[in-house]
Amino acid sequence: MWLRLFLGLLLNLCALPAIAEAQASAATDQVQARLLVDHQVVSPGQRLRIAVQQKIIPHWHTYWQNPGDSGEATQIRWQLPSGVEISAIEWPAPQRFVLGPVTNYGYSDEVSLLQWLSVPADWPLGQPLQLQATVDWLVCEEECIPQSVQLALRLPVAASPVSASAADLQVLSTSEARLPQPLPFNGQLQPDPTGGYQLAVSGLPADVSLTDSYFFPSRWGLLAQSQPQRWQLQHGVLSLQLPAGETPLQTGAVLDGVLLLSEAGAGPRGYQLSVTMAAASSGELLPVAAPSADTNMSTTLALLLAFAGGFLLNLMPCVFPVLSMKALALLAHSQQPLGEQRRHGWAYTAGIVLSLLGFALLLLGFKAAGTELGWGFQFQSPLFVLLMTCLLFAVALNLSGVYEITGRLNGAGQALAAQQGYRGSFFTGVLATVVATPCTAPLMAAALGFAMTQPPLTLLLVFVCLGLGLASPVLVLSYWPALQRRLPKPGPWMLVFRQMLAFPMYGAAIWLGWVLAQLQGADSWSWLLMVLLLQSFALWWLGQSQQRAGTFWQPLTALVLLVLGLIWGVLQLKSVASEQTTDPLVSKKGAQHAGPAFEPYSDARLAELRAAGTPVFVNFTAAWCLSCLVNEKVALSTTQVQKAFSERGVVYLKADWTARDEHIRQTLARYGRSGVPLYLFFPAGQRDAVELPQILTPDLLVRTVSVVD
Amino acid sequence: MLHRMWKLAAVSLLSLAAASSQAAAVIGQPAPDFSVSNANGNPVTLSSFKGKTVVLEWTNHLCPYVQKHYDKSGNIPALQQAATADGVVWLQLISSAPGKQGHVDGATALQLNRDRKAVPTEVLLDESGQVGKLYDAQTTPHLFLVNADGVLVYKGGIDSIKSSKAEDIAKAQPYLKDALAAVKAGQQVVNAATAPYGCSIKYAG
Repeated sequence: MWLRLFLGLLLNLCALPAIAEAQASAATDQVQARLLVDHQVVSPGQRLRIAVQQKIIPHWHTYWQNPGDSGEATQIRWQLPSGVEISAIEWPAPQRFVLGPVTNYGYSDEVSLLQWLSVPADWPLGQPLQLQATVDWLVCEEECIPQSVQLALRLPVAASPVSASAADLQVLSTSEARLPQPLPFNGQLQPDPTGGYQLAVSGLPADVSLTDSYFFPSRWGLLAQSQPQRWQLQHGVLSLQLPAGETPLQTGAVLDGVLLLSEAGAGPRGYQLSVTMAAASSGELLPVAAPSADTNMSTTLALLLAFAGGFLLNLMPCVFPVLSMKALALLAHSQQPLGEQRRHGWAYTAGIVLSLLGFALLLLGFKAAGTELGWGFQFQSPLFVLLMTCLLFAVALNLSGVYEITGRLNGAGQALAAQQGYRGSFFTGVLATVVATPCTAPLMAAALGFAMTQPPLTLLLVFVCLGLGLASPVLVLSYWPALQRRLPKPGPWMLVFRQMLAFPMYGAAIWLGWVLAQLQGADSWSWLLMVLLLQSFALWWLGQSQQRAGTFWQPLTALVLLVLGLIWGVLQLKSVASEQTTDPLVSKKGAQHAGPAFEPYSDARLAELRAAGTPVFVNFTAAWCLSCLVNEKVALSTTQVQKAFSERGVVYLKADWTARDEHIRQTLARYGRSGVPLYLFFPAGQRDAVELPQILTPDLLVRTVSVVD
Repeated sequence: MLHRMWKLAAVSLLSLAAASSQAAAVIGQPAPDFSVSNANGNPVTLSSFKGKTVVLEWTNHLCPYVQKHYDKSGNIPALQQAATADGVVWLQLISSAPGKQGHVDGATALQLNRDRKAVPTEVLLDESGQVGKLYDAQTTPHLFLVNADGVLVYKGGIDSIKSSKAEDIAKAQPYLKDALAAVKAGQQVVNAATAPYGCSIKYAG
């Protein structure tokens, strides 16, 4: 008898650890919890989808990250082997539970809380991965029960992973589908007269029909959770009236959470929403549906404007060196038959138009891929700027006479004119276009802004017209010998003139080097100069070989050196860029040039100033936009303008677009623009912004800020 | 003349109605007045405590979050002891409807407090939920603090960690305790509105 009792006790004791040992699933009276992974055999370095699934009995619920007025969010505390990392919980879109004056956010029936788990790359094969989690939740019907379970999983580790069962994968993919998606529409938030907020979501399909819409705030206090949210849908704009909570949002604060839209005939769908609170009076800044004036422009007008803008580009500082090169080439051709000259003119035009079309197609491609770019975007790429710097430097060296451009590697030095074949004219056109891009000329900005909103064909036409405008002076010159006769006769002076032209080109290269320093940090100067030194040595070496015809190895080594130098430069670029990602602040130090005191632009800051009745001047600029810099130098930085600004209490905001910035791009788009510069003046207390022309003068600025009082 | 008086009367009635419907619990505003029976069946009126600091505490002895602060830790009884010793009036309110969790008669309520060493000034039985709804009380516990001028200076949770585990109390920021200290020192309450947490109040209907 005693023995039996003793044995029974022993058995129980032995059985105890087995019971205590956690399993992959555990159940309470209300909730069945289970640990799921997308692989049953895993391998080192793998990233695993892992979930805690809760199956809840009818009428009961568990809670979302913001449980609402009462309740408590489910918590998962992991005990993981060292080196194993786990991401934050991704919460599926929640449901609402209303019990009298109490509203809760949570889940009924079934939910899986998703996470990512990374297996260390050096995890030894064959040693199983032991995962353990303590999961705490509160489950409520009307009454609430806090519960806690231990879940554990032992995953074999092998060189080749094995997927989980189809049933488990199904559970994971269903949960994945319930995660809120990034909002594909624009959201805007501002206070409404009733003391709450007005959330406007625009860009919904015009024919969408919603049966319900509800915004779940990510934390307590932002919204009065138990009060109804009124909503209406008009012309693809959904507006929600959100009642303010105990700790209301201030201007510039961010409201985030999940917007749940239920479409007729489809289930509810959650969207991740994060919007900044604008000031009350900024309604006109955020046109919910009304398109800006520029987008109403007719196609013909846009094409004309594009042509005129292209023509004016010739006068822009950045095109000047290239234009003078072309003028020089034309002079050299002046002894040639007219037909040949015309063909040169057309080759130049083709170079311009085709490269612009290339840009347009690139823009369309990015647009189709979902990345919206603005005009001048290529200068936001450090690689492009580096290559451009080297190109301009090489052209300058050529103008200085260090080497000649020939079709062959070892051609002897020849007269400049004789070398400039049609191909030369074509590439001069390409060069002119590439260099012209950062200068968005007056008129052109409006036309390009329009083009971005148009179907692809119109966009392409606008770019063709722009190119024709840019090419027009040279084309006209090539067709009109009478004009050419007014220019001086070719002669030895041309060599001197050509060498002189090298200097604006060196200047342009220095400017681009500076743009690169803005994008990549001041350190880039040192290695950039090394790359240029290597380049000048290589091209000098090439020039030497051209004077002593016949050797083959010399130009070859020159070329190899040139290429090696470039590769080295590109590698430098990568290393700086990767450092940059670790420090987001570095990438944002843009065009902080000398000039009047300014504050960085943000929608919130603008809204705040406007709400306070402060007049605001906004300068949309970039380090690579030469006309922007000229305007800042000759107009904005003058003491006259600064005095006028300080007398009128005008706050100067600067939106720096040197590096890619989606926020600024969107703001520009709101004004129908796709590039910089853009100058806006918001008079105190008035609703509409005054848009200034793209060429500023001190007088104009003083007049603008003075008139509106 | 008569017409004008009628108009005046109508306007004042309307504004009265508006005022009463707005008489919600708002920080910095006078706390809405109420009168409700205590555990002994005697009416208790909030405004009668003018000149004293008043704590309103919604409770439900079966709620795990209330148990965290009573049975498992003695946190709320200790707070009650300290506050009442300072001359603070502590009103414990039970808004559970008859038949729902936490609904008790006066004698049981008093016995529960004796068992838990809880020492509120009064236990108020709000089984109709009128006072609870007047204050927009949502959870048990849910706490409100009224200063000597009858102005609401705090509403929200007892502390900052939303859990039912007693061991979290030491780690949490004690919002109510801080608010009581601020009022005692004649200072502004720093976190005047915080998230209440706990079980939902089991109102009627």
